[in-house]
Amino acid sequence: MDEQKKSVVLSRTTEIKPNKKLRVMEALNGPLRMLPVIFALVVIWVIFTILNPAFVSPRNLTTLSVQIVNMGIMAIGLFLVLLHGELDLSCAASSAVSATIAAIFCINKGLPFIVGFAACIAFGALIGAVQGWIVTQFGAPAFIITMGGQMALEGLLLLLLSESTQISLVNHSLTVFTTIYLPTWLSYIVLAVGVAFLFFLSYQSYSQAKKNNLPVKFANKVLFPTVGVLTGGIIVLEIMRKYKGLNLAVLLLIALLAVFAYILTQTRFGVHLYALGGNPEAVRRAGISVKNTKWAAFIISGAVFAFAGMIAASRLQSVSVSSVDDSIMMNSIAACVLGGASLSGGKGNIWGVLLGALVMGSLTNGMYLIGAETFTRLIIQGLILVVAVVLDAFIVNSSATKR
Amino acid sequence: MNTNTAEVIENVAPIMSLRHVHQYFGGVQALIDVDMDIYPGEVIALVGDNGAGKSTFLKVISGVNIPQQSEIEFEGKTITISNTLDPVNLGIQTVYQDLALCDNLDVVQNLFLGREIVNKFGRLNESEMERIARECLDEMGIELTSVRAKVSDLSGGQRQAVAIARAMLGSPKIVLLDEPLANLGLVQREQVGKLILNLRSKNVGVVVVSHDLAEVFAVCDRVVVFRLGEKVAEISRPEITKERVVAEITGSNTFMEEDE
Repeated sequence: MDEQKKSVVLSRTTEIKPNKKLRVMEALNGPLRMLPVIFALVVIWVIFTILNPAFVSPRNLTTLSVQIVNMGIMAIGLFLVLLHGELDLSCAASSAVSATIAAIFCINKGLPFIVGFAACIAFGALIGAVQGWIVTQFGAPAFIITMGGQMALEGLLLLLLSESTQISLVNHSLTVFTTIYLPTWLSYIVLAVGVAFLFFLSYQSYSQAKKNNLPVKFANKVLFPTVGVLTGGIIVLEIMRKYKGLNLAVLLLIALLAVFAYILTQTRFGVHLYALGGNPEAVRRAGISVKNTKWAAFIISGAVFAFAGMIAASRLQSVSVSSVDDSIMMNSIAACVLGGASLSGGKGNIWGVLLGALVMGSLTNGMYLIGAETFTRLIIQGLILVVAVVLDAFIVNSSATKR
Repeated sequence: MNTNTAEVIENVAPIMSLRHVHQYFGGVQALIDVDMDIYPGEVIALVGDNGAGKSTFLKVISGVNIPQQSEIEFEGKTITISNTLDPVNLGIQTVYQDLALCDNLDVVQNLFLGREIVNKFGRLNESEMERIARECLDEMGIELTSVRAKVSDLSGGQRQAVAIARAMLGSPKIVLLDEPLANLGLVQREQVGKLILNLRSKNVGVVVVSHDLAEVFAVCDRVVVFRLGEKVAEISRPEITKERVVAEITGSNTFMEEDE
């Protein structure tokens, strides 16, 4: 028996000595997956700074950070849907209608902020629930179902705003999300709490690894991530404080990213979502309810879209019949793809969404700043997206890690 | 019914006994009155030509096909199998031909898909899963460069091994293997063969459906031959020869038997 055991050595029969290029490609396909988009971001920032040094001023960086919140949050919702291999084209309409519901509740009906906000999120979740139910129950393509949803919701928006084509939110508490800047002391407390959480979670992983006799280093597992985030946080806060400080919306974006990063990598639900993007049949055979998992993802993303709509309304200080912004949807999809998500599902890291949103947001912001025409901006944004996807395909195909 | 063919392990009670299994698909009789016993620590090969019923029978055991008529006993108790979860709950694991692995997940995640270990706050306990995965793979003699390698990075043989390890992780009593050697190279076939023997040594009842007669004969204790939905022969270890099995598969021995 022991002899049998020893002799079962499953080697990679097709293994060739990895050459340098292959190794680079494998790294880019694996641990360094975010490197190209970080590189692109640095290049974009350097170019804009050369063209107009005001680009890296604390004031403009603060503006940029607030500008990307709407796109970033919508991209989080889209990322959840993309992860299990679907697409939601109703996100822009869904967020506009949800925000309008909040405005009607609070402004027209005079209900308190919390009621309007809760109604907004609940309505977004409801839209996600209905569309997700249709998609999972009938096996219908989400692309088409949500396209229909988009049209229907645009109609609903016109109906809701048929009397007045817009509702102003000026001076109303619904605009708190983007008008409040955190005082420095408070933002540092928030950072400290965040870092403490990270320390707690990474220390828990570390001690579990120790307990299970796995090779693990305190420095790699706990120290570097914690210190890295702390340093990054301090740099960001120091830049922000030179203008007005950290905007509440930006904090909410980061918090949402952190929450979903936890859900996607540290919970069963998250693993199941990734697995669904890889092989739904394997998930089904593993005894997991494919329908319920997908449905839950649709509901959560619906709520996230509603929140994005709330942020947009807060920034524009109004909701109107023209609130459905298809360009924000396209930018959000682009942010997901730039951040490493795949339209066929199962790929990507949620923090990539932030990088993708920063790339798209920096281009818009910088192009305005240097006085470029809209057409230039659109052409360049489009080209960058195409180049990013081509580059990604090239990396995946060039590394040996494909079948 | 000649159920005493497993002479070597005559005194051991079968884990599972199937009697009078009938399966129709519309007007087509896919299985006609098939009987079979599965013993612990035994490798059974189901062979036959295309459409002979061997895969259909495997799917009856795994709960994919629900036969119109059957009497099934599991560890002495009469049971019914009405879905794919029933066999799993009994301790019957199936390794499908397409393996059902998620390419985008790593080995540990695949092994634990659907039965992840979490702490009391619902957080995945990655370390514990990794340790158990390593132990399981070690015990089966499966060597991988890393248990954190993505399944898409593995060779065909390694993927097959991961799929078998996934089945073993549920400490099954019976493992069903559907075409485990298909699409594998020569070396890998031998390795998977050894893995099957490894399962046997752990007292698991193994049922293999395969087209590759030579490789299967090397590891099986009993060959069950299907022809046109019927079980036509059951040949135990010493008598297994390629000629005899091929003759049974094609039906060319019918005269010979009559002559004798």
